[in-house]
Amino acid sequence: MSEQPSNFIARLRAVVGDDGLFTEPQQLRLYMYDGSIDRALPMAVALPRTAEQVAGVVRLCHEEGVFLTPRGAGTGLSGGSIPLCGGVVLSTARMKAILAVDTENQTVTVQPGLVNLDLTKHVAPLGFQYVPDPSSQGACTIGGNVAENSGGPHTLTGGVTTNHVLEIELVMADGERVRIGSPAPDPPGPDFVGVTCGSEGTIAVVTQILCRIVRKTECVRTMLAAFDSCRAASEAVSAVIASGIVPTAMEMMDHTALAAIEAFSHAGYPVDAGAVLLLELEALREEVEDAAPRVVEICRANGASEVRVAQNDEEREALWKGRKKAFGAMGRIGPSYYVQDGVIPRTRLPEVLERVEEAARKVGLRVANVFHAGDGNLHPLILFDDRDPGQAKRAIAAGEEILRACVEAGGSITGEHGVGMEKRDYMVLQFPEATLAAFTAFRDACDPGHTLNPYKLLPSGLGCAEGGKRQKTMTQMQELAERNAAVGDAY
Amino acid sequence: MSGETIDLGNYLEGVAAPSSEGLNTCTHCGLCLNACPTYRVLGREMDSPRGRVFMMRQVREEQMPLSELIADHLYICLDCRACETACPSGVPYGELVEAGRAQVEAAGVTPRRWRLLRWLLNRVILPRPWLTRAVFAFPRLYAGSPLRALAGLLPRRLRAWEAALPRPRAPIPVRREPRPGGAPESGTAPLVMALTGCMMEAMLPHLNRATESVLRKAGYRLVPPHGGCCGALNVHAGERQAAKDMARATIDAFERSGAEYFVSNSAGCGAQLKEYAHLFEQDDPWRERAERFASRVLDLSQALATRGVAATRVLDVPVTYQDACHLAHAQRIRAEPRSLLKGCSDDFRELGDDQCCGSAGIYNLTHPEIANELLRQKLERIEATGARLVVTGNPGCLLHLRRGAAERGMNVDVRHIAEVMDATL
Amino acid sequence: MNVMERLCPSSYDEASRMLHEASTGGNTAIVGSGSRDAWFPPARSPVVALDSAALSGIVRYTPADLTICVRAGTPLADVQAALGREGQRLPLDPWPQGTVGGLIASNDNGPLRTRWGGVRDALIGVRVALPNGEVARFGGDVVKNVAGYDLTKGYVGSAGAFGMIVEATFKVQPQPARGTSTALSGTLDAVAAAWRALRERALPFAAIEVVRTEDGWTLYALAEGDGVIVERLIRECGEAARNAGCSTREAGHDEVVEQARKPAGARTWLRVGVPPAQTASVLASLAPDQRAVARPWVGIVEIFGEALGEDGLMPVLRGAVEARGHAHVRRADDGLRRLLGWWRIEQIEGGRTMFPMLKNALDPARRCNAGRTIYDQLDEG
Repeated sequence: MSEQPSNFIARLRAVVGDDGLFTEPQQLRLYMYDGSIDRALPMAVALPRTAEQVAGVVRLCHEEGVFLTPRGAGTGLSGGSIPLCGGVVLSTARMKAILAVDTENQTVTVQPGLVNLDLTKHVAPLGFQYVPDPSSQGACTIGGNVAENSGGPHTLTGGVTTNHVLEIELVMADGERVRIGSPAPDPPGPDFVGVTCGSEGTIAVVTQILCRIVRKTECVRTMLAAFDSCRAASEAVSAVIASGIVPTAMEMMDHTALAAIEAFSHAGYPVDAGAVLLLELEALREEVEDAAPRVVEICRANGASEVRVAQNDEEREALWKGRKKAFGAMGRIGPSYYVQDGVIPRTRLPEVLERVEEAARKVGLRVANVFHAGDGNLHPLILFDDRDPGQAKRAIAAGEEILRACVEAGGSITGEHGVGMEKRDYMVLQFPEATLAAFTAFRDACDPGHTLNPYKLLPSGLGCAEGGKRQKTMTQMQELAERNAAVGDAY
Repeated sequence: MSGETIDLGNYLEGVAAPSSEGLNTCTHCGLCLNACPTYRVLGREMDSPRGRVFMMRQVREEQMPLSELIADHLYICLDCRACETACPSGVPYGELVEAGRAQVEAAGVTPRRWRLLRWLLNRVILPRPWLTRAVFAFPRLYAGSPLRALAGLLPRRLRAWEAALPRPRAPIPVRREPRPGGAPESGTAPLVMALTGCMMEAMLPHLNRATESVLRKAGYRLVPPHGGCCGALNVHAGERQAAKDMARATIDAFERSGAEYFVSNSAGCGAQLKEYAHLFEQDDPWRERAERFASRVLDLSQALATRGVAATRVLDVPVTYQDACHLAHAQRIRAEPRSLLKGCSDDFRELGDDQCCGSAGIYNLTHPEIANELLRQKLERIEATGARLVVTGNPGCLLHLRRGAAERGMNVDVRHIAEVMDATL
Repeated sequence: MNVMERLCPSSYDEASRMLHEASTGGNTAIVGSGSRDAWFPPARSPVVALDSAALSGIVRYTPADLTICVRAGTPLADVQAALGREGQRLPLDPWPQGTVGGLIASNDNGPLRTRWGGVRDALIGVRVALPNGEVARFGGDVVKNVAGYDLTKGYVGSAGAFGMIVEATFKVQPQPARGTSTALSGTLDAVAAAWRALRERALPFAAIEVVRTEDGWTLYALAEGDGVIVERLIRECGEAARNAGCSTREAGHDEVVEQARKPAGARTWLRVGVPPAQTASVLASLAPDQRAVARPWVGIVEIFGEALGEDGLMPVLRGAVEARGHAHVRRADDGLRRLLGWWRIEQIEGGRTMFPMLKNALDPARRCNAGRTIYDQLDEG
C-alpha cells in the first residue's frame, strides 16, 4: 500500500459517497457470508449506484493493490462473493434498474443488480420471459448470473445465461470501461461475451447487460411421476430422450429430499416414493398434446407408480414451488447441508447416483438429491450439523468423493454453481495441467495483480503464480489479511 | 445453569431471546432478500431478513454485542413478514425479531432518536388501554370538530395527512344487477364474537359497524364484541408483559361468550391473535388455551368467504386489492378477499405486487423516508392498474394509502373490505 | 497460399509439437479444408501451414447423451452422416463443405440459426493444440459445465488466432420427423409483415429466410417436427400470408437450403448483422443489382451479386454500423476489396481490449494465423 488505509478509505468515500460505504467492523460482518459455507471479512463495502462509480472503485483498488470482490445478492453456493483476502466488497444491490425494453428486438437492457425474477415479472405482461431461471431466481441478480453463467431447471432446451446475453458493459481490472458483444448477431471475431460469462468476477466487473427475452410459449404442461427408485427414474429420463422428445425440464428429487420439500411446500408430492420426476413440456399446443401422453406412457413403462399432470397454472406452480425452494427446505432436516453441483453424461446417472449414496454412507452422513436429471446436473445435498466440526469435515470429504465420481464418469465438477473458492482445488480433478495453465495465463492477462475476486476459480496453488508483480501483491495481501485480523479482533 | 448462560451468548437473562433453534434454521440462502421491502429500498445486507437473523445469531455466538447498531436494524424492519413467505426453511422470523426487539429494548440500546416516542408508547400509552383509545380517538374527534375548517392553512404535506383522517366519505359507487344474491343458505347461524379493538374503535368506528352489519348479512349471529386491545402493538414494540395481559383478557372474554369464532377486521390484530401462543412458555397452561383460541380466529374475509356470500350489487368502478402484510404473509390469506371482490366486481385488477405499503404500525412516523418510498412504489402500482377503488383489510394500510393518494392527487378511493362488502351484499 | 511447408499432424500431441516448433521460427497458418479460406484476410507471412486433414473421425458418440465428440478435421458432412444413422443431427447448417474446426473458427451458420442458435450455442467443448507445445481442453462432454473460464467460446470466430482446434464436442438433437417449407411471395413490405406476424405468435419455425430474387421477394418458412406440428405451422403461414397479401406455395425442404447457399458462390458477398428489427430497413436500402438472403428473426443479411459496385455497397455498410450492427465483406474483387476492406463494426473498443488478453494467454508470441481476424489486425498493427 502506498498510502495509509484511512486515506484509501477517504478516497473510496469520495467515489461512492458516505451513504455508499461501510467500514464499521460490525457492519462488515454482514458481508462475511453468502449462500455457501465459507466466510471471510472485508475491510470495506462499497455500494455504487452507477457504472462510473464502479469504475472509480475498481480503478482505486487497482492503483492501490487492494483486493476487490464483486457481490450481487450473495446467494451463490460456491463462495464466489466471499472476500477471501479481505479488501473491498463491491455490492451491486443499488444498481437494479431496467434501462430499456425493446420488444421488437426482444431485448432488455439492465443493470447488474436487477433480480432475475424481477426481469421476468417486468416483461411478463408484454408476453415475454427471460429464460434462465435458477432456483434462487427470486433473489439472485442478473450480474451474478453472468458471473456464474447460471442455469436452472429450464436450461435443457433453453440454454444457460451465456445463451441469453447479447452484450455486456464491463469495467476491466484497471478501471477501463468497455462494451463487448452486440445487439446484432454474431459480431466478427471471438465470442468475448461467451468468455466473460462464468468468469466469476475475476476478469472484470459487469455494469450493464443486454439480455435476450423470448415470447412465452403457447402451451406448457407439467407432470410429476413417482418411482420406486432413482435408478428407475433415471431410466425413464433416458427413455424419454430416446423417444425423441426433449422436455424443457426434467427434475429429479429423491426420497430424502421429498420429505423435506413436502414439509415446506405442501405441493402434494408423494413422500413415500423412492424418487420423483418433475417433467415439463413447452411447445405448440399440438406438440404438447401429442407428446404428453407419450411421456406418461414412457414413465409408466419404466415403473412409475403414479403420474400426475397439472391441470392448471395453480397446480403447475404448486409443483414447481417445492422444487424451486428445495435447498432451503433442507434446513428442516439438516440442520446444515453441503451441496455439490457435479455434472455427468445423462446415461451414467444410475451408477453415479449409487456412488453418491455410497460416498455419504462411508462418512456416516445422509444425502438428499434434488437435481436437473435432463442435463445430468447433480445436486447432492449432504446433510450435517455445522456445530460439529467433525461432521463438516466429513461432509466435505464426501463432497470430494462425489466430484471424483462425476469427473471419472466424463463430467464436470460444476454445472451452474461455479468454482468459487469452494471447488478451486478440485479443478485439478477435471482439467489437465495445460488447461489450468491457460486459465491462469488468461487470468494474468486480464488482471495481472489478481485484484479482482482473488483466489477464486483457479486452484489455490496456481493463484499465486511467481513474478515480481504477484509477489508484491502477496505481501500486500498479507498486510491486508493482518489488518483484517486486527479489525476482527476489535470486538 | 452455566450452560444456559453460554447458550444465551450476549443476550440478557430474564427477557425472551431469539431462540437458537429458530436462528439455526436459517441456511443463509438469501431467498428472502428481494422479498424484503427494506432491502429493496436500502440495498444493505443488514436491512435484509438474512442479515438480521445473522446479527441475532452473532449475538448469541458472542461475535457481536447487543448494540445500538443491531437495534437500529431490527427497528428498520417493517415486520411485514414477507420473508416468511419467501423462506424455504421455515425460519420463524417474526418471532425472532420480536424477541430481538425485546432484548434491545431491555438493554436500553434502542436508537436515541426514537427513545422519547418509544418511551411514550411503551411505558405510558400502550399499557393503559383508556389512554390508547384516547390517543387514537384524537384524530377522529378533530375531524368532527370546527377546527377542520382551518385545514386549508396547513402546509401541503400536512394537508395530505389531514386528508387521510376519518371523515364522511362519498358512498361506494355500486349498481344493482339482476343477479341472484343475498344471504347464503341458512342452516345454523354460527355465533361469532367480533373484535372492535383499540385503534379501530377509536379512529374508525364506522368500520366496526360495517363489519357487524356485513357479518349479519352473511348469516352470523353476534355476541357483544370484544372491545379490548389485542396487544399486537405492544409485541411489535418489544413490550411483552402488557401484551400477555391483553392476550389473557381476550381469550377469557371469548371463552366466556360461548361464541364459535372470533372475527377480526384488522390484519395486524388477526395475526397477533393467531400467534398468542408465542407469548406463553411451553409449560404455561395459558399456552394451550391460546392455541385453542387461535384455531377459532378468522379474518373477516375468511368469515365471509366460508359462508359463500353472493353480492347483490356490483361495484361501478375498476377495483384492486392491496394485500396487507399481516394477512398475506403472517396469516397466508390471499384468496378469500380476492374471491369476495371478484364476486362483487366485473373489473377486478390485480396489483401484481404484495410488497408492504410502508404503513406498518408507527413505522411511517419512525422511518418516514423508507415508508414514503414504499408508499410511492405502491401508489405507482395502483396507478398502473387504473383502478379507482383500492380495497384493503387493515386500518394502517388504509390510512397510509389515503394519505399517499391525497398527496399525489390521485383520483382513487381507499376502502376497507368491510365497507365494500357491506355496500354490495 | 505461398508457404514453405504444409504439415498434417495425425495426433493431438503431434499437432502441438509441430505448432510449437514452427512458432520458434515464425508464423504459422492453421488451415482446414480451405473451403472458407477466402472469407478472411490471409495469414501474415506464415512459414508453416498446419493442416487438420489427418485429424479426422468421431471420438465419442453416445446417442442417448445427445452429445458427439469429433476430431476437428472431420468434414461436417461426415458428422451429420454419423448422427443421421442414429436419427439425430447437429442443428448447424452452414456452407456444407469444410471441417468442423473451420466451422468453429469462422463462426459460420445457415438457416437453422433462426431456431437453434449458432455455433456458440451448440459447441460445449474444444481441445486445442497451443504454440507452447501443450494440448489444452476447454469445456467438456457435458451440456452444463461452468468449471473454469469458458474459453471454448473464445475459439468461436477466432479464425485460428488462439492455436489449432483439434477436437470439438457438440450438443446434438433428434432428427425432426418431417421438414417442409412454405414460400410466401410479395413485396418487401408484404413479406416483412408476414415474418413479423409469425414472430409475434412465437411460432417455432426452424428457419425463416427471406430471399430477393430477380422477380421480387420470397419468404421461406421452414417447419420441422411431427406431422401435427408441421401442419399447424403451414396453416399459420397461410393465414399470415393472407393477412399480409402474399401468395403462397409449398416449397419443400431443399429449396430453402439451396437459396441459403447462393451467396457463397457469388463473386461479391457481404454478410451484415443488425438487430433483427432493422432487417427490413437494410433490405429496403439495397441497390437493384444486389441480391440478398436474410434471416429476419436473427438480423443476418447476406448481400451478393456478380460484380457489385462500391457505390451501392457503401450505403449498406454505413447503414449496418448506424443500426448498431456490423458487416463482413466475405468476397470481393481486389479493387473493391481495397475500397471496402474486410469488416465494419459499430464499436471496436471492447474487442480491442479483450482480444490481446486472450492472445496473451494462448498465443503470446503472436504466431498463430496472424492477421486473420478484425482484432488481431489491430493488435499487431
